[in-house]
Amino acid sequence: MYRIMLVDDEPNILNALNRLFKREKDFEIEIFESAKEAIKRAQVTVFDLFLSDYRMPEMNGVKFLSEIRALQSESMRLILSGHTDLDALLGAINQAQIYRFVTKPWNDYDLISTVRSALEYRNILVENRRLADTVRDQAEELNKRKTALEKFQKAHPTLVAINWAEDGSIVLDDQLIRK
Amino acid sequence: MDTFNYTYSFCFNKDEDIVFNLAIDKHKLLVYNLSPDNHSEWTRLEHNKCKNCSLLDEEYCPVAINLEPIISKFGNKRSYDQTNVEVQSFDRSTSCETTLQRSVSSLLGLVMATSACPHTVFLRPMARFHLPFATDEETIVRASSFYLLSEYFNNDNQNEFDIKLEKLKESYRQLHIVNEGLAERLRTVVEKDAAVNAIILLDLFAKALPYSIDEALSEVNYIFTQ
Repeated sequence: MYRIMLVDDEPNILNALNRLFKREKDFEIEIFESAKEAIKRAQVTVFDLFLSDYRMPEMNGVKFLSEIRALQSESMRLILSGHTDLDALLGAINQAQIYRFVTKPWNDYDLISTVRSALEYRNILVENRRLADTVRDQAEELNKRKTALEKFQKAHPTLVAINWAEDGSIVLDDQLIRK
Repeated sequence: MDTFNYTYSFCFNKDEDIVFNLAIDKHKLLVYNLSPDNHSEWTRLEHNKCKNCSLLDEEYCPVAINLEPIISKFGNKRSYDQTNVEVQSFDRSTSCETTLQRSVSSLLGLVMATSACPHTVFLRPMARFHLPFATDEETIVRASSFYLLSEYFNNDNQNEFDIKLEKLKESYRQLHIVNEGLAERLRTVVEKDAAVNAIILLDLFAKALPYSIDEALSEVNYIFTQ
């Protein structure tokens, strides 16, 4: 299940979005008319995606999503707005680092497709981070073993020395072993 | 002039009141333009023309020229600003304390329905009985009832009576495209979002009604199945 938060000060828009998103069986939706209340909720619950209006009375969508970014950096953040200016666009990209700026009135199919692609993108990011963590852990482990082996080689050089023949075979030299 | 009239009065705390007096031709159900001279560039038909527009010879979009005086008053206002609106018709008045986007939405809905756009013709009978600030439930009942009544009056062949409201669904799909076009047109001239958001609120219903018909108007079923 994907947990999605919708924020808009106009309840009719929120209800229409809620109706649309609830048709998707793997979406769990929470709606907020107040950006401040939405932030309080995000302080205690992780969401996969936030979809917010831009112009709201308490704070605009960029400020809201910037605060969300500080709380949940791995979340996908989208703005849905009827009217936007250049400042809004720049703020959305630079401060809130949003995934998409969607215009109202929206097309139902396009909006759901955009949200789906944002969630897929988030899955890839999370998976990439997980793989990067695994690679980092494995590299650390490998380093530890390499250091231990080097210590052992220094302490007991004859035990680990291998005498290779020209054809790639190992030469077992009794004299060397006896030493 | 045989008209029925509506006066929309918007009262603000700090700003000046804004008043529109609309006169609608009783027979044609078309609104008289509030400023018939010198239309702005953005009202030209070709300026962000709707994708489904079937008009060819008109120089100006019939909806845009009727919206022009309204947009000039609300284009720089914010959607969430509060206003007290009073709508006075010939025999009653309705008032509502609400956000600007909702109150402007009610006015724009009336003006769009009574403009000479081929895609809003089906709304004209409803405009005759305009219900300011109608809820979704009220609008579902009104839209489907008016449509069935228009089928009764206009469909001579009762076998083809569109009881499943298929044509109404299509009309609202086309209306959604008009709303998108108008929002796009308005975005090129307004500074703030009250007017565009008013169109967006109208569009919520245009998008919702086809779904509602697909679900057999389940939201209002309870009213008729006592």
